[in-house]
Amino acid sequence: MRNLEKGRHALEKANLEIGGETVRSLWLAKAADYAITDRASLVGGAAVNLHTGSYNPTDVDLCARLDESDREALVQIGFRHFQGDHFSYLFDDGQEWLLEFPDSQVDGDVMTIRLSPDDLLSVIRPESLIVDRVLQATDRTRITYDEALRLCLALFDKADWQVVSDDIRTRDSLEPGLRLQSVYDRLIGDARSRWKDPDGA
Amino acid sequence: MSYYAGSRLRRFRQLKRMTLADVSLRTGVAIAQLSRIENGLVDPRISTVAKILACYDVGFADLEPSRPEAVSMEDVITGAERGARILEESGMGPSDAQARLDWKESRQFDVDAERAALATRA
Repeated sequence: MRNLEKGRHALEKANLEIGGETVRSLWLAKAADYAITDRASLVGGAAVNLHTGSYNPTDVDLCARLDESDREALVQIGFRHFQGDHFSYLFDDGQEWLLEFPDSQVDGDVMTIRLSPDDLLSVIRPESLIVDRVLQATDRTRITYDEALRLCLALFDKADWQVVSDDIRTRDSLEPGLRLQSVYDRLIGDARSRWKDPDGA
Repeated sequence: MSYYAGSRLRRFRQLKRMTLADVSLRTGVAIAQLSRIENGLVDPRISTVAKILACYDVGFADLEPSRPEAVSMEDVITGAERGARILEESGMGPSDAQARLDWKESRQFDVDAERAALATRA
């Protein structure tokens, strides 16, 4: 539900996060969520960064339906609208962050992060995020493969791999040309061989 | 129907390894309508939802499962730090934002704005 005052307040919170990109990205996303009428869900690189801590996202991607009043509201709370559903925000410390709405719906499941007692943000679930990155890695380039591997490793002992495997199998049967299952199998093999328990167990 | 409930229906279908066409055949609901339901774009009749749920051997209660508590900000930060540690120990290191932008550019994406934004980061 739109609340411009809360949107501006969330941007203030993001502004206070100097050097903390993870938290900054969440407050920036929440500010946009408050500006629009639809519920926004965080996806893409900023969501990956929540698990890997080292993605260095160049933008914040949100899934939500936007109309003209939403675009105007985003500008009202401080975002700059530069084309289509692309916006930017200039922080007081000089950092410029991009905000994009690539899709109206999340392709997968979502979870909720509690930013503060009153501020909740919808975020793509880790299992759906893994599937998204495996899909990207079907282009067979080193860069997308390594990004998918990083996420698999970071979530190796946390993700529900049965859910991931089921999703991969279903999608693979629907689009066999992508060879999704083969990319996934290779990723899991690589992740297993590289995995080192950070807690020493 | 909420997007959340719609996405639950999609999840049930995926777990049954069924396509929209399979479900359409079994329920008599048009494929386009099933897609709209899964995407939360329409409010279907209860009888329609009941037919779809029966197809997946689940009930209405399964549409709104007991959701886990929201993840706290502290847990998110801890998880991100742990993830970075795992990557470091496994020899992967951090992601290279410049390399990602090069890759996107090679796919004909306009990355000028992203490059400019990245340059503002320390």
